[in-house]
Amino acid sequence: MTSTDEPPTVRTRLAVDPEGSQGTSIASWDLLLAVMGAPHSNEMVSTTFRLVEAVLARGGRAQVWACGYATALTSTGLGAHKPRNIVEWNRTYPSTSALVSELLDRGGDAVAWSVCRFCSDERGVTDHIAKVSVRAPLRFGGHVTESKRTLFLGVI
Amino acid sequence: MPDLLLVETRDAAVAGSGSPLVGDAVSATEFYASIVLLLLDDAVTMALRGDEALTELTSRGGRIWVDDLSLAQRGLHPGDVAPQLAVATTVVGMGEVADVLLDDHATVVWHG
Repeated sequence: MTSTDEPPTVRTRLAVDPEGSQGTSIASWDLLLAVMGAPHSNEMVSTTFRLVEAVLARGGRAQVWACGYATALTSTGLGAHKPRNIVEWNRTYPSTSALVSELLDRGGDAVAWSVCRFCSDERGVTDHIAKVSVRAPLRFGGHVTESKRTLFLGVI
Repeated sequence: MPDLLLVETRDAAVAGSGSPLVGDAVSATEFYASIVLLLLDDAVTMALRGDEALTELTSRGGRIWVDDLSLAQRGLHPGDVAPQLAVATTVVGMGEVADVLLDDHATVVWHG
């Protein structure tokens, strides 16, 4: 794994620690997308990217929490490109890992991508790209607390 | 900017049942001044048929947004929207959706 349950960031601590925030919730993220569904059965993944991009374009901050098979989106095993397309032999298509990596590089501290450790381990997705945080399931509540709005996309 | 944005991603007819979200949108017209139903992904085809529930929603003042990319990916065009829905329907991009998501006063419900 590239990242484990590191101590909460200052932002997170402010959001969940009553002593630090005097009991007041501080929402430092505009949007939390909880991506729960199997990633390739519909357009959920492209919709996720489009939503995050649109929020960033308006100066907002968006974070993603991937659960279930959506944890596989950031697996290092996917490599940088999808397998070669036999009908578009000379074109390369980025993997979802590459897309997330590029999104995180471009978005800076305005975007974050976390994955559920339980769901990852249960599915054998044990190695994620850099900058993706692997979090214990119980951490999800903190992500909700620090976000103004939470949307669930798909079901496990 | 709507007070309530409901997002449907599935075509109720393909799923084999009515869309509970569209029914909720119709009911919610009694409580919200401005309601928008966003048809996204597979749900965009509902606007082409002009389902009865969508017609009822628009007759009660509700509006319909249809996602531009979801239409384009299916080879569909804004002119394909059912005539009875056309006046109350707007084709939008994800930017308009983000504007609502970033509006603290709007309620957003996502289905799918």
